[in-house]
Amino acid sequence: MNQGSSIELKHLSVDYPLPFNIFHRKSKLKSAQIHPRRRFRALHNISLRICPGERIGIVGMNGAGKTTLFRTLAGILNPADGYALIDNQNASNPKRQPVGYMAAFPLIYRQLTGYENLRFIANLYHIQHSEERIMKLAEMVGLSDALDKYVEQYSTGMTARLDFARVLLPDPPLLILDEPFGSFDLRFAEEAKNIIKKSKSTIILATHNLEDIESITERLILLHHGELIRDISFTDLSEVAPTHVGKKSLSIIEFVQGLLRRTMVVERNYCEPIHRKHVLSK
Amino acid sequence: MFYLNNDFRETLAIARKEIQIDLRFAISYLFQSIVSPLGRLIPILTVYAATVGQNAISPIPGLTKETYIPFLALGIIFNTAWRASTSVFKEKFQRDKWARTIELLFIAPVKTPSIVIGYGISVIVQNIPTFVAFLIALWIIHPTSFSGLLLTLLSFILVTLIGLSVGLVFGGASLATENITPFLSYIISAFTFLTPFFYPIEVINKLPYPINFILDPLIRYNPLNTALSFARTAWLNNGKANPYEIIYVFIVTVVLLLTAGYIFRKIWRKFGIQGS
Repeated sequence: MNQGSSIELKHLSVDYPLPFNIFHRKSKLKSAQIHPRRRFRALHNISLRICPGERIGIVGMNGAGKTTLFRTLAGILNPADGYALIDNQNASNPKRQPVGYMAAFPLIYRQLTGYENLRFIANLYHIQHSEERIMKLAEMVGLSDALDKYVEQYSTGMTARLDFARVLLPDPPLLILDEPFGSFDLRFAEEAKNIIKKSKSTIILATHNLEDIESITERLILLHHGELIRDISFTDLSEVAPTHVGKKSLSIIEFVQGLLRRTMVVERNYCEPIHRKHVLSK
Repeated sequence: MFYLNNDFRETLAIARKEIQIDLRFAISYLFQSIVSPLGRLIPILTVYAATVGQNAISPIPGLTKETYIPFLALGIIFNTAWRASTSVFKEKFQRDKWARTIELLFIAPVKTPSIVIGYGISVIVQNIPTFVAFLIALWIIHPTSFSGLLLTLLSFILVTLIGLSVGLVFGGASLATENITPFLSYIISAFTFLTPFFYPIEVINKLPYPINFILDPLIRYNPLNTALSFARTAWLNNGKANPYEIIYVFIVTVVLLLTAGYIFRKIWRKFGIQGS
């Protein structure tokens, strides 16, 4: 059983090139995020430490940089400045600990069957006794009878379930979940949340549902225009910012606006500093 | 229970995945492998049959009515291997890039050589139907010795590996920045033109000066030309061919593979799906 990964981000910045188009209208992007070399700074100077087994909720408006942060941690994007370490290894180093990244869209080969997809992942992650694990996961996500169908014949929900099974297959010590419950039906969404809660892995969850943040995570990070604005440990989310008005739950946008208005930042106890023995071993 | 070595396992997983995707529509795949090369061959064969075959109207230097069919058949086999191997990485990486499934390879603890060899195996498998079909036809029309067959096969594998080396850089660049891909495709087209797949090298001398003066060394020292002429000589002379030619091609292949692998490792993670 894995014990979760530790994560260290130090002055992490990630850029995207801006569109090259002579007919493009004048950019309305926030000027602070425009780099002189016509690059858009999606993440700016993020420093963060996450302990093994910690459960982090990441909130922010659309375009705040949540997905960019996730893609950098998953090793898909390279930092423009700073670094991202997972268990002392660069996030883009293939030798680092496995990362289970569930993106907002399924990372699945639609031309293959569900079983072929999972077997491919099992072989990439060198999973022993993969057949048993695939069958167990397929049963867990309710796809035992659909494994031999092509994914293109799956419904959106079934594809998302297969993607969830893909993420869990290598039993990764780090789970990065980008709005994972949106395509699940209510019953399976609850099952998926229970599976995540029982996991010993480090969990980083982005969601637009305050209840998920409250029930799954223990620490909240607010990203705003690519910057880390708040980093708060909590036992009750309503201490951080209002979550209800009367009996009515607030939306994530209202919650974030409330959070931005508050200047209070709850002190938290950081885990032991990560030793930087293998830093930047690209 | 026997478990494969992890590197080998991930290599085979990538190769198997690619072959499964290719075989998703098996009939189309087989037709593309065999009928498309035949479609390219027939117009050229028609012209050659009229010019050097029975009742020929005018001779083409370097070809006779006995040799032109093996000459063209080997040309089409090598041309098909070259086309497929140079384009495979670009096509597959682009497909996976825009379907975003390439991200699975970034996330997984998979080594770059496993990716390269896995995709390489899939293109070799893709070329096998063409190679076997044309070779059987050629064997019936113009048989050769077993050594002639083996040397042709060796030369074919080396040409495929040269194509994969070029294609690897091409594919890696297309992941990093698609703006460069037209220029790379022109380079591949130039190499295709400078390789006598469908014309004998002797016709270059018939071209007007200074075109012949410029083209002759480019074609003569082109390793693809050397590999092809080695295979043609080995086939037509029952395995008798100049061994220095294949040694030259082998050295070039090794150098190209190492260089391409190095360049690919440097560029492929500069992932440009955001438009760079």
